[in-house]
Amino acid sequence: MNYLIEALATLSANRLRTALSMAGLIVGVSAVIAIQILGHAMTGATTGIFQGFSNYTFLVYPNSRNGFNQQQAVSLAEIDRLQSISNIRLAIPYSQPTLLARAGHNTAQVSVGPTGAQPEFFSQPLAQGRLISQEEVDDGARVCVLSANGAAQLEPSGSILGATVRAGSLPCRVVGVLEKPPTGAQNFNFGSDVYLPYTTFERHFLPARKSYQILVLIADIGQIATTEDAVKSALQQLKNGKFSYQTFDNFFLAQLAARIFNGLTLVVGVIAGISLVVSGIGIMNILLVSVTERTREIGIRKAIGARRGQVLAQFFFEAAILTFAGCGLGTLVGIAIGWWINTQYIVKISGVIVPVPWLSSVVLATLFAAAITLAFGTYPAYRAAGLNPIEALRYE
Amino acid sequence: MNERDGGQRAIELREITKVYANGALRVPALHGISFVIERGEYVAIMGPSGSGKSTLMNLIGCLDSPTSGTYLLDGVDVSKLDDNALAAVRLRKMGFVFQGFNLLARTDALRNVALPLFYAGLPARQRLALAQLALEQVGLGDRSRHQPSQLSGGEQQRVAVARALINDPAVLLADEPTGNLDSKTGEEIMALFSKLHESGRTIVVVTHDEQIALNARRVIRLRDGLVVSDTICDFFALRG
Repeated sequence: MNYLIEALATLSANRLRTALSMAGLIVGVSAVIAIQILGHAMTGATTGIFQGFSNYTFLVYPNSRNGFNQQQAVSLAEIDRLQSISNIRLAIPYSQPTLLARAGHNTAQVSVGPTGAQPEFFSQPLAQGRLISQEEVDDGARVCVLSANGAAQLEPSGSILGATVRAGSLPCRVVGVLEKPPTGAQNFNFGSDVYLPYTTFERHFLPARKSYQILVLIADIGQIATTEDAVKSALQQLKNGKFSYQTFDNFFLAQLAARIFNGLTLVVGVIAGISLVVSGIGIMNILLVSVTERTREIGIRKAIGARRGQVLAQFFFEAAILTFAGCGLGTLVGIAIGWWINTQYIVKISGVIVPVPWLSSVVLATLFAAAITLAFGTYPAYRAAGLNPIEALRYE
Repeated sequence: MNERDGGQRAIELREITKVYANGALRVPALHGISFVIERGEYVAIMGPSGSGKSTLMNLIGCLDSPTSGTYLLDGVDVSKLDDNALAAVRLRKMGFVFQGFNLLARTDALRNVALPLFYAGLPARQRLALAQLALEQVGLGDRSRHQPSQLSGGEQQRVAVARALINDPAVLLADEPTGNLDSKTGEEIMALFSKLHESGRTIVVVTHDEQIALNARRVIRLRDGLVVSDTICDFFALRG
């Protein structure tokens, strides 16, 4: 307690030195934290663009260099033979025609697609109503779920839930509406504006009730490659080896994106590391510049009877107070800057405020700055406290 | 000088030698110094540069240890103590006054004077109250909140004297206390020393200035690391 008071007195007596050290700490720590936050936010914003991804579906379609052959198309009965392949939860026929839809007096061009009862088939979470039930799928009921975009186009003012939408010539009742996707998020999820039970879709929108493409929902992403191979060979067998099939999934894109993000994170980390070192050198400089004065001070203190340990303790307390206050203020300033730029600018790229794991950057920056301050705040004392007081008093 | 019991002796040096080892080179500074300073004495130690005067002052001030010999300070052998024990001895038994004042910059007179009490472990309130008293004793009671840069040289040296006395030391050790002062201010400081001597303080002044030495009651002269003379110069007795 005594040391704390004495250290505070010394710090307030040497205001310029204290202010400069604190400024070094605050600038250094806040810069590092702000850079880290912005880096994470930027990475997060880029990730947000890919948020439409669902990793649980992949698409199967024929290998065809010279256009599609009618015989390559598969019927629902043929698709049902794939359901027994392990890891497959549901395989459904797929296509996505763009049709004129009508609701009351409104008309709009919308994409119409098939779905099962599983939520993974939808590109966004549900906002109103409900998803399509298994019974409705089994019965081929005339019900649909609209994307936010589809709902907005067909009913610009008010709720469309419960209304009847005529998709092409098929009237169907709207049971649910999806959430709006984040601005900038691209939909790679084979999502539609009007989702119909795939049984209904198959009956009304597939020519000859056959489709060229199959949408497959799987259970375990880790086995996606094996499942894709199994589906391809099963289809090839089904067609007596006459045709081969290929697949498209988000997993590949996701891996690509992950590599880009890792690169971004690395760059951000390096920049933050460089600013840490720069700020560390700044703090070091300020603390070492006062060595001459402080060495004389230590000489005085030792001559009047301070023990080495007492001198060191006092300098340590001074450095600790500097560290605590400087790192604390620097952290607040850094978070404020990072938060401000994040909410003002980066939000416009991704459409969402990206949650930032700022805690680790705060801990890292603070620990580093604290180590530098404690080391170089105490180092002159460590050296000088070992000197004969007379030598310390003569130190120039 | 009368041989009195050890309790009366402030300083007793027996065959003190000091050799500075600088690598393989050994530089002898003191060749065997012996003398006794009784309590309440006012002694000047004089000698030209290179006489070993500064070395002797460092030893008396417990800032350094002798190579051989025995040093009893206030009856306690301090010649073989380690750094921390010497620091404790300086804190309790020795008050320093330096040529260059050596006050802490940007720290007011009161806190400068209170500093030894901090190391002695006194609580803050008590430290400052005792420091205020000490400053009043050297005539600076109204200057306690001034920083060294706001004080004249003489005032700074008086603050240093107050700081030296705050722990009630056995010996007040001054190293050229007037070296940085003009002659008038120097006389003021020496008058303060005489007053302290009259009140019973043991004072040792290390100087090369004969005028300063005239204030002391006894002069020990060094040359080449040996005591060459030790005289009591009692002007009051001479004047009768």
